Amino acid sequence: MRARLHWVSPLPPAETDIAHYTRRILPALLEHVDVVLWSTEPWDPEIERLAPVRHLDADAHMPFDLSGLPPRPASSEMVVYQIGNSWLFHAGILKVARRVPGCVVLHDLGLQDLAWMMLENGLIDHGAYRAAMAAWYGREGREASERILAKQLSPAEAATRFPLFEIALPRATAVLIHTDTAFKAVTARKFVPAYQTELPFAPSPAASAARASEGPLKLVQFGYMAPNRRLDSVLEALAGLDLAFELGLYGQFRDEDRVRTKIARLGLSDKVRFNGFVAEEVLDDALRQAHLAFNLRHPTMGEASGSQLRIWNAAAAAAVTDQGWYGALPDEVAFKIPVQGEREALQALLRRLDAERGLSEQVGAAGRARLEALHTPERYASAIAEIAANAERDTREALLSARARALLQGRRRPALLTRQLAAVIGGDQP
Amino acid sequence: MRLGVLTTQTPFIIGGAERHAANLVAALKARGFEACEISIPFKPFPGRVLAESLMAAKLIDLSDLGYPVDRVVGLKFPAYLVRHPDKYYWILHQHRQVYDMWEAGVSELQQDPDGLAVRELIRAEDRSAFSARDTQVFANSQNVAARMQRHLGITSTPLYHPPPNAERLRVGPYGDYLFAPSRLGPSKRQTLMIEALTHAPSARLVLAGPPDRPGYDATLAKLARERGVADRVEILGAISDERMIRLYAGARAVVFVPVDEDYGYITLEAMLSARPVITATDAGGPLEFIADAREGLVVEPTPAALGAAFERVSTSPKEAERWGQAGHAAFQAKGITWDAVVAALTGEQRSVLPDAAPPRPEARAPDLKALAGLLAPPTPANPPFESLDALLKAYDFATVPGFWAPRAEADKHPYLASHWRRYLATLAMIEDVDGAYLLDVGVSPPFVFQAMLARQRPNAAITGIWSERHPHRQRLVPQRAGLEPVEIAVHPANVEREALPFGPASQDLVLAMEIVEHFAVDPFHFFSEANRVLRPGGHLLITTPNMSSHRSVAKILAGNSPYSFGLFVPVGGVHGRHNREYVPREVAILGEAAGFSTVRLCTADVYDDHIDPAAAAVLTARDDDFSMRGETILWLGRKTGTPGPAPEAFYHGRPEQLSGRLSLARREGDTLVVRADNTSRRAWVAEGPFAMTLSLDWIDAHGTLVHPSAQIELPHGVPPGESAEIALVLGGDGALGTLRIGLFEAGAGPLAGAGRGAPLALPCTEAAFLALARP
Repeated sequence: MRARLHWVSPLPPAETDIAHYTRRILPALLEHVDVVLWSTEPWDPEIERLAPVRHLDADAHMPFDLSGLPPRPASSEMVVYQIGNSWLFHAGILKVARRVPGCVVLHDLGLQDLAWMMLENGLIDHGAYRAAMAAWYGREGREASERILAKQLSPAEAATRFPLFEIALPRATAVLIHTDTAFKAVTARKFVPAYQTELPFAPSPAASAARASEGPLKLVQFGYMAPNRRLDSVLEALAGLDLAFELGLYGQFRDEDRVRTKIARLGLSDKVRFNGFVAEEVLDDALRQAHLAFNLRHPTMGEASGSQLRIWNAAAAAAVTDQGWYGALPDEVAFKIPVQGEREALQALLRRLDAERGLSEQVGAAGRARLEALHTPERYASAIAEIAANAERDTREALLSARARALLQGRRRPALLTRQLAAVIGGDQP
Repeated sequence: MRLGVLTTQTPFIIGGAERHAANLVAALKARGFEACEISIPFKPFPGRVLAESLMAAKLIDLSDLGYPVDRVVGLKFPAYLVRHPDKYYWILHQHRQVYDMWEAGVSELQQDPDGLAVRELIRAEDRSAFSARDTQVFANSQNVAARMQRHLGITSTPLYHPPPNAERLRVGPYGDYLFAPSRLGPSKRQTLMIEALTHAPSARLVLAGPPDRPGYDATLAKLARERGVADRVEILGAISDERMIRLYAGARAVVFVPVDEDYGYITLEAMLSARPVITATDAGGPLEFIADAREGLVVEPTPAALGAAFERVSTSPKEAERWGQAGHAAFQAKGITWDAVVAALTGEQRSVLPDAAPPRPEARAPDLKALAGLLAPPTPANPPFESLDALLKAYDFATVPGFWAPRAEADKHPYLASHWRRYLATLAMIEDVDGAYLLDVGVSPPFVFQAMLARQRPNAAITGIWSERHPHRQRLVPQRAGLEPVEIAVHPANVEREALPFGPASQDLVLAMEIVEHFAVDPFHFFSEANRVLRPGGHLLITTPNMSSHRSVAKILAGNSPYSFGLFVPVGGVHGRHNREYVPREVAILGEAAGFSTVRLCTADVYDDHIDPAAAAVLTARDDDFSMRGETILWLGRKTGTPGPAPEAFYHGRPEQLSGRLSLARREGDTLVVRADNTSRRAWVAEGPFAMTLSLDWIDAHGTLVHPSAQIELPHGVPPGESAEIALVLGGDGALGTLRIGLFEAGAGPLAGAGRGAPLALPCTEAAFLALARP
């Protein structure tokens, strides 16, 4: 009998890519497993045509009210949490995930921002935060926590060294991540079975390229423009250029006023257009016309980028930072920009694209091919189905290890004892 | 071959599963195997702790104990997860909270945040265990096998076993009652049976089994009262195996309607007793053996459907017998034996070794002489006098010197002669009891027993109580050398109603010989008072006629009243006759409730050795061991505590709270404040079935009781010795009459009726009364 997954995620119309991701993979997922969607926030009823949706009450003793669901005597039932770094969409989910065992899909490795906002909003207390930092990162972690709490260190900066993804995993029965870097980080902690697969994207039908072979270069940057998206650097690179271009900005800013002031100061006001948050079709259309999309990340925790998948879907070329997940991409699917000399490298790239207009098409097509090969929802759904098939085994291992860890807490050599215990209790009958 | 039987125990709970493991071990041993029960404790909640219990089981390795254990047989989760290379499973049940109970939405784990994960954990462990190489998986029943198939896709073989008393169950006549043996609890659905009785006017139901939780038997009794069927339901509580076998053998049919029972011995026991089984369509295990209108009746679990089945078997004895016999034949045909079980689990076919077979008692006519010997009264090691004649010659028993004296021939004193053996038996009961201060309750001249008592324990101070109004004192003067005079001081008291006229802890021994059967309203009062006047460790001796003696049985069989003394005594008032005779355990129950431990409870034929053969035949045919069938009950208790509440089974209401005093506390204009003092020894409660209330009656100027029995609640509970005040507004115009206020216990009635709380009368208009009485 098919497993039933309790899929905890932001849902459309929530303005986060994780909501779209869920919507995107759902049809393929339903080919393998049954799904009940759980959301802490209101949802677009359209999604209920695909799967039942229930409200998740993060503060209830039993957040999952399973009453009324048809019984599934012969199959596994597993909770799957989608954890990202945005406190707006994930604070409630994280709260439940820390209490009710289930599989955790880590969309971001660095959860310091989320932790910070939860601190600010009283959802976790300073003591718990300090304790978590000390437990996972030792003395340095504890010191960093003091500096963060004293506002001497920003959570984003801290995330590079102390990502704190561990706070999502105390009751995890399995964890799914999307990149090599994240996989290494999670498996180093050794306490849950970890799975890795590429972030999914449902490719739209291939659209004909509409990029102008002459005239100004069309440039795009989109998404939530946090400081690590390097917009300041992009603007500074553009200000020093002597060629014709138009930059369209799509999405939200943490500090729009400051950005507008900077654009004006750099003399770019007539070349940069603010479009705000737009419909997906509008954005996709802009990408199909763009010669280059800026998709830089620094610092980065090495997560896969939903934005990059959208760029590839539009067969567009992107400038990415040469580190983390981006750095590990094949050279032909994106333009890699080093952290050192970022501005100069960007300027050189733009001059080259202006001179070789076909280059954008070429890199865009290679990206699109990669998307179609590795990032399909079908491939992703198969990976989830594998996790579901292992739910009994993984849950057993996770639960017993967690109990063993709890029972051995305070022992001088917990790791050794835990491993010995796990070898005994995790084993199958002969 | 050495086998370990793996089972799980929830500490302090012993049920069918625990006995099952013991029975398997016994069956293996009887067939020459070395077998041992290996039990591990289990705490199933919350989910986190359950995971730890499971882990603990997995950490136990029985593969090498320094000597070989050839095989382990796993019966219960999680014990069957213990590690051993040669493991068979005979699954009694899995952890149903994650299987069928989960599916039915009634699992406690569904209210546990860890529940979903724990479900996966247990499924993984069960699947791993049952799929291991080289193992055999048997299920206790088809029902359990089907559950394993449905939930885990694991195939197992049903392996039936006989119920514990299989060899002793027997077939008797088809009686007039429906027998429902099993633990009393919601999962066995006794409430459904009681509801069903309302649809079955001809049916009588006998429930037997201990309650799952204290008080559940009372809950069932209450339901029976509420449904108006209490006179057709008997709730026996826990009973002996012997009695259970008898009740099976004599029932019209057996009722067994559990919710999805795994197996259920009751079905098999009924079949072995050739009783039809009335069961329900959702009962699980029973349905593997019982088909509708073949070995019994299978009905929907509703009061109406079950009631119709009750009525059918109650009014159709021939059908009941036919189905019962069919069940008996079906059981025999199935070959359900321990031989088969042991063969399946060991791979070796063996029968019970000759010297291991239990002896089978042979039926034979009762040996009346042996029975009479069993009921011979105890006698003291050193009788104070060799005969009644000798005693009567030893002292001058005259109360008016020279005017009255019993003649010194026993045959002229038939009462004394007939009670002589009882006196000796009484002395034998207290032979080992120390103490110098003796209180003998209910004495009257001639004081012959007291003379025996004085000779048994020289230097003792003997005090008596009688029902005369005046005290009395007598000195028995010896009539021959070597005897000391005997002083007896007698005090007046009504021992059923009044405090004994002695201080606390002033006595060593209280004797109440042939007294308690005369009590008419409150026997427990006397037991409690006896406790008060006795020192800690002091003793109370009761002798009283046995209402369940073989003699009473003979009287009933002959169609006579079973009283030992059933005469009215017009000159003796209410206490002259026997108001209530007792059965042995009732005396112990009263004594133990009053703070005594039973030192000895026995019965004896103290008046007559004759045993009616018909009565003896009836009793011995029911495996009655006869020891409690003597005509007199002798009970000796030792004071080890203080009195608790009166045993509820003896009383309507709570006797120890039924006394109070009403008075007018003050008047404030039209408002009268009435004060109710609790003069009893138990707190009054203001709510519930035993609440103390005020009853209000209104009597008009002509003395006619116009409005009886309105009641108002007390404002709060009242501890002993404390009071409640109730304000009554009595103003208003109209004809003046009398407001009568009384204390009224909701469970019992007005206290005034027993003289335990005199009513208060106040002038009051009818209008004011009606204003008070209306809610």
